Amino acid sequence: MTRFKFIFEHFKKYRYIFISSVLASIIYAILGLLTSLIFSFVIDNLIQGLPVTNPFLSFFSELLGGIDYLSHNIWVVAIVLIIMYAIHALMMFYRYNGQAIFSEGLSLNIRNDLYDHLQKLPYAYHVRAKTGDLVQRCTSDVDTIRRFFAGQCLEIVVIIVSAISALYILFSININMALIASISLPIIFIYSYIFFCKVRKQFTLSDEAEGVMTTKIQESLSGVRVIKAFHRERYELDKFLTLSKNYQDVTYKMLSYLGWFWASSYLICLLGILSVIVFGVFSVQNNSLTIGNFTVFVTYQTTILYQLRQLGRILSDFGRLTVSLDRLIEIKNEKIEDLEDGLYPSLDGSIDFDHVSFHYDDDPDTEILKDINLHINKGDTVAIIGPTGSGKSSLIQLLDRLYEPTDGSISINGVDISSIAKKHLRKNIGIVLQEPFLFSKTIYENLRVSNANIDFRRIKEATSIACVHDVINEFEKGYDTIVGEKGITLSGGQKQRIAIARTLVNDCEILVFDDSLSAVDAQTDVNIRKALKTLEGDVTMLIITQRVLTAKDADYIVVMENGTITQVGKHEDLIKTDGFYSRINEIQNSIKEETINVN
Amino acid sequence: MSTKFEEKDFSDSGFNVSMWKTIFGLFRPFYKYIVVLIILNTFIALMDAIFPYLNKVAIDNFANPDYDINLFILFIVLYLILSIITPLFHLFYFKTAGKAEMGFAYFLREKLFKKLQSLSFNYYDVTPIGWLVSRMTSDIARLAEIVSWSFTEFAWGIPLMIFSTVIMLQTNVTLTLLVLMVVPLLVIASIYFQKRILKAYREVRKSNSRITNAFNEGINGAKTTKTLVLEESNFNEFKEETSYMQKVSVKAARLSGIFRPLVQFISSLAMASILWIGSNLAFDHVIGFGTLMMFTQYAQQFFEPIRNIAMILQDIQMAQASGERIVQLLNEEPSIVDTPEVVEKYGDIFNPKYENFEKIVGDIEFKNIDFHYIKEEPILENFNLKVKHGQTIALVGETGSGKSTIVNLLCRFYEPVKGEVLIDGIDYRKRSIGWLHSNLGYVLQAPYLFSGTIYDNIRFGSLNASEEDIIAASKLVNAHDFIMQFKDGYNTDVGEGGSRLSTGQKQLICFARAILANPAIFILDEATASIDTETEKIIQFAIENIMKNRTSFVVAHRLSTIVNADRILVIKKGKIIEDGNHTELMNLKGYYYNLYTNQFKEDLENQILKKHS
Repeated sequence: MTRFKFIFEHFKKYRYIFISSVLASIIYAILGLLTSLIFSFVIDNLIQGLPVTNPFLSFFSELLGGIDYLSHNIWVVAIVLIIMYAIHALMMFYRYNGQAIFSEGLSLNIRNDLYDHLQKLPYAYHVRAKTGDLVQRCTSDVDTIRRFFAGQCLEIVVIIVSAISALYILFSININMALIASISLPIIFIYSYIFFCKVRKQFTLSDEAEGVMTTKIQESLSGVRVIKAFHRERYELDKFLTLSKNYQDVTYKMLSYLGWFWASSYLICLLGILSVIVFGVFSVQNNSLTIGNFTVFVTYQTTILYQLRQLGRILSDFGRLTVSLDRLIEIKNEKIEDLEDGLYPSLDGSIDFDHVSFHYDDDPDTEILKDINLHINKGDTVAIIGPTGSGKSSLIQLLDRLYEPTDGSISINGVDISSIAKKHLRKNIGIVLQEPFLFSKTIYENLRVSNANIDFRRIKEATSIACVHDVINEFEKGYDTIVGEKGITLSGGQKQRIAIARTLVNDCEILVFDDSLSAVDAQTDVNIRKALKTLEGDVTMLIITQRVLTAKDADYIVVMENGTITQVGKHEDLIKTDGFYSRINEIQNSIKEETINVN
Repeated sequence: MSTKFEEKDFSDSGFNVSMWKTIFGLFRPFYKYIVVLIILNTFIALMDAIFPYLNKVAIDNFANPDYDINLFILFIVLYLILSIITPLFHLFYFKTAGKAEMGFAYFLREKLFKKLQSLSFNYYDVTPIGWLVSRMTSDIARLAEIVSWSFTEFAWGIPLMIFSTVIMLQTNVTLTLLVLMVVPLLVIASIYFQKRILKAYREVRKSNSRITNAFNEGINGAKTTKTLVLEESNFNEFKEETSYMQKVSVKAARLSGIFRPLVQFISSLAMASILWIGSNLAFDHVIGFGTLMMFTQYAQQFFEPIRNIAMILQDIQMAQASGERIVQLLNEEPSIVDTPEVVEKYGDIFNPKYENFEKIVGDIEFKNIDFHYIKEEPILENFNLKVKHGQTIALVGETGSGKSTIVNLLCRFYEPVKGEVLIDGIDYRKRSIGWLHSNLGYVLQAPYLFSGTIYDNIRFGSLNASEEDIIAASKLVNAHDFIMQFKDGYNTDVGEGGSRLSTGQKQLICFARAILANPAIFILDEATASIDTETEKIIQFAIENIMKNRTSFVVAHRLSTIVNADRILVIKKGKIIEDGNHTELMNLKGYYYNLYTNQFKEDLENQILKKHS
């Protein structure tokens, strides 16, 4: 995707308001130049009585009653000036309003698009994504683009139009004088442009120095206990002060560069104006320039010089804009997954894993799952047990199509899931992740997040099954308690139980618990599973665990080791067979339930 | 543990005189800059007022055939001189303000950093680090910027208006009145709009931070979003916020979009009246054309200082919130401090008098100690414990039993509410915090390293240790071998917070750091996180080496440490319920017996699970 296409795609809707704002800016720029011409007209033609040479001027003066009338009624010109200023102000307002609408509209569209896109990027992308960097892009890079369109963009138009028209007017008045006036223009423009391109390095140095210093602050605060315990306050202070000093020096240098720039460019401007004054005075003396036109030269020279200095600065900022654009385009170029496309069959039936193998795209040598064959009847409760890294979680990630198998197929109710719409599949398989994420909203809002219309009775049922209803009620604000950064911090077990309840409210036919009971204590684990049995209908349940206690009541138990299924059977049978399950059972069983929690 | 952290909201308070008094008190060393800045600003204002006058002179006095060539040359020279001096003023202004800003910021950072280093553990228990970092960075930066740049700009705006008025009055009274006629209108418009614009942008900033939050959640919660198929509802919610953002942003931009053209238009009323009345005056040769020009220029630039003053007032309002938070932090008192007598003898934490530090033998006594974090929840009541030097004490018990508190009290991270801790027979409050900590070896549950090399991190334990000492310490805890396996050996960069090393490796480096300090008292808050069997064995070896010949306290989770301790204390609800060595406690068949047998099995189980992974 090219930069232009990226902008255009999000900008389309506003192209007319953009074009009209450009037009308004052009009119605004030209009207801004007319004031001086009106004063010049009054001085030269009305007061000094010089003949009007400009055909436009003579036309307008005839329209207003002729030179003679006007020179005795200058108030008419004053009224014209006010009207002109009124239009000027209107154009200015139109431009500001326009650029507010299209720059905000553009950033709205970019933000929405990015958010939508990020959510639809596949699971694998989010596993390896660097969160901080992504958030940074979505916020400050978008803002860089917004800022450009919110001002600089039309500013460039205004500056260029007024510079060109001013030069045109000056040249049509007096070529020699105009040549003198134009010498300093390119100088100031190029000088500013080059200066800001060069000094950007010093800006970066200052930013970096600030970054290093901030990191040190962060570290000294996070490690404050260690510092105190070793009595290293002085040492840390000295280290910090070195960095703080460095930041001070680097930034001061940057400010002093800026000081040199503003001073030297100011000097250029003043010299430019002085040269116009000196040559203007001589030209007036030998009658090659009227006094009115002389004032036009002085005024134009002053405004254009400062504007061009500004233009140099704006254009040197272009680099930043393209960097921001590229960083966003990079996100947009990641392929999203299609959630809607596919079949929407009933998922009310048995599950079959047929010769399923799996490895990650970026690591084809490590087989995570090897030729898995498994049949799960509708309504069964199956426990999958095995050591870390045995492939348990991958198995259910394939079932939910968070990843696709590299070989073999999975079917539900006889339908190959690769043909089923992901949206439909995921809605009907309720997975509780190992490390569930709760949104920083109230508990109530978290529970109804996937179904806004659910009634409170259902929520209470779900939280009761998940053994968390009483816990929630103990909070001061009950279900209206806000969780996360801005609210209370929940323990791992509380989070897991709320996540279980959140999944339960959806009435899925298939429920999967990916080690979701690991953070709750043994008794609660038993209570939750007991309660789950009371669920209406024939719910198929897959429970991934490392605990025998959690597994043993299942209809049957699947033991996984190193990506393969090594044992399948009922608890009673498996404990009699030599293998992983019986070994782990022996140990765990001998630990009494009343174990005192040492942690 | 303690009360929840709550931030005061300073956003909408009036002008806070006492706060600014404090700030300007702090700013005292920089007053010389202020004086220079005020003078420079006044000069710049004078120049800004003079240049339109010079243009008038050029037109009125020289742009006619019978001009005085000598005067004109004088004029050119004068203009040239001003053209050089004025930029120089600007340059010095930048340099001085920059120096004041950066100097003040540095000064404040040092002050605040010292304050933060001296605050006690209980402060850090409830204060988020991120909040403190913002105070140290953005608040200081904003305050320093506004105090150095904005405040002194009053000395530009007000003199500029005065100088311009004086020059105008000198030239023509009627036209001056025409220019000044619109000033009240400009002031009213500024006050009306600036207030509303400020308020509107505040709303924009709020919405903006909600959007940032939403991105944060959307990205962090993406996996959950996928499994629950929340893409659409999340997106709809997000769109609501961005639409709101668009609405308030456009509203805010529109306000300034009305304000600026309006001001332009108000100035144009002055322009038009100057054109009308001034032209008639010129017609009658009362004034020259240059004068006419000059007045239009003043009419146009008269608004600049008014807008500037409005902006300064706005800046000050923003700086006030920053200033209040900084002053709040500076006023924070550490809960654990040395008495003036102690400081007199031992120095403060930043300037310790090491020559007066006594050696510690290591006899420790807790005498009739009461302690609580929150008044209603006592942790220790009349707690007593005597430990002979050189002993290893293992503390076991449930979370909240008080075992960590005992260690925290010993380290004087907290002080007893009642009773005293005696070290070598003397209440530790009779000596300095620095003295105690210099004699302490402390290894935290979560190993914490600073960014830098492994070498630097170990050296942290004893700053004047030689390279041999450091290697010897590493060898003693068995860290040397793995360190040498890195390409850069001891010069390996550990990354921020030690992120490039495994937990076990970090732990070993922490041990080396502690042993290098050669402490008389050693404290170990054992990690509960499971470390692989191999590392565990190595760590065990390290611990045993460290504890030789010192008084050691271990908040113990691992069997091996417990078994070898001289004394095992089982703590329950702030009381010692079992006390003795391993064999004695096993014979008791009480709490310790149960704990030991269960843990033994758990260890076995872990070994099996690990072997398969």
